[in-house]
Amino acid sequence: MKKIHGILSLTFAAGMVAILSACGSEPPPPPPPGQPPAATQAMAESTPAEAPAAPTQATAQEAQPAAAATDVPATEVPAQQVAQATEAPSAPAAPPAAASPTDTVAPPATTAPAATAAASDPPPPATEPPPPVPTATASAPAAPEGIEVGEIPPAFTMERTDGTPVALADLTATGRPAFMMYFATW
Amino acid sequence: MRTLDPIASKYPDIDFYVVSYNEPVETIAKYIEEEGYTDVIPAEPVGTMLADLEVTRQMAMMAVNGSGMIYHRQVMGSAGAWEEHFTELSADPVAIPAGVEIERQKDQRQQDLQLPS
Repeated sequence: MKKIHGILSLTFAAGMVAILSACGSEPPPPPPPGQPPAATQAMAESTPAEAPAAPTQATAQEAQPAAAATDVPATEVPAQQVAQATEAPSAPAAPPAAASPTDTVAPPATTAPAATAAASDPPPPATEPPPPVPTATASAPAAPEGIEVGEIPPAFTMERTDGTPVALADLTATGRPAFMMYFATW
Repeated sequence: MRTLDPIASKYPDIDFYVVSYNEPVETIAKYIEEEGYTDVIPAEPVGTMLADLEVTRQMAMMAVNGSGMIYHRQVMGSAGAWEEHFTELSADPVAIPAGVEIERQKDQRQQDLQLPS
């Protein structure tokens, strides 16, 4: 029984080594300062606007890890079954780490051209400025309230401090323009 | 009124009235005297003048030309912005407001087109 257990453990370990070597899953180098992490690059690559700018070599390199990722579960299933059968707690932790999505994404060196291409893309055309709002000119008649400009007002009368009445008819009789400011001293 | 009095002195062909809105005209006359204004005329509305002219707020301003037509009116603002109107009225006391003149010409043209030849 111990021999079978040992053989199964060795077989599992050998299978894991084979999977890791097939995937080429070395831990990715840390991104250089100023460069977004791998997950951000993957999102940037998935945008349709930047897809045409990405070189075809990069897409080929991306397609290969994707195929490897699809292959991993097929090889993982027996390995997990073996692990469950052998009750080895530390062994199953390795395959998910090897098949994590960040590792299957193309390395940062291949995504850099896409990122630079995206950065060098011309900015979207500026939106058209809003139509000019018509503003009232100084010479345009303003009638904020009351009787409009150009109308003859109804007859009115006001009185000077000396008691002299001044009516609209008096103003028109003299032909003198008049300015009236309705004022309060508060 | 501080800006109005110097303007009034520049246009002697136009009468500048300061009409009391809601207080006795003597109060305004006293204020004018104290401030030393010389070219504005204090006056008091008689009867329903304010209602007839539809003046609902103080600091409303109105100019009429020599034929009694309302040449310009506004509420609030500085009389200094009216100088162009004073210049026009001083040059032509019976001048018609520009916009009104345009509308009148349009109406006249419309009537001419409708007349049988």
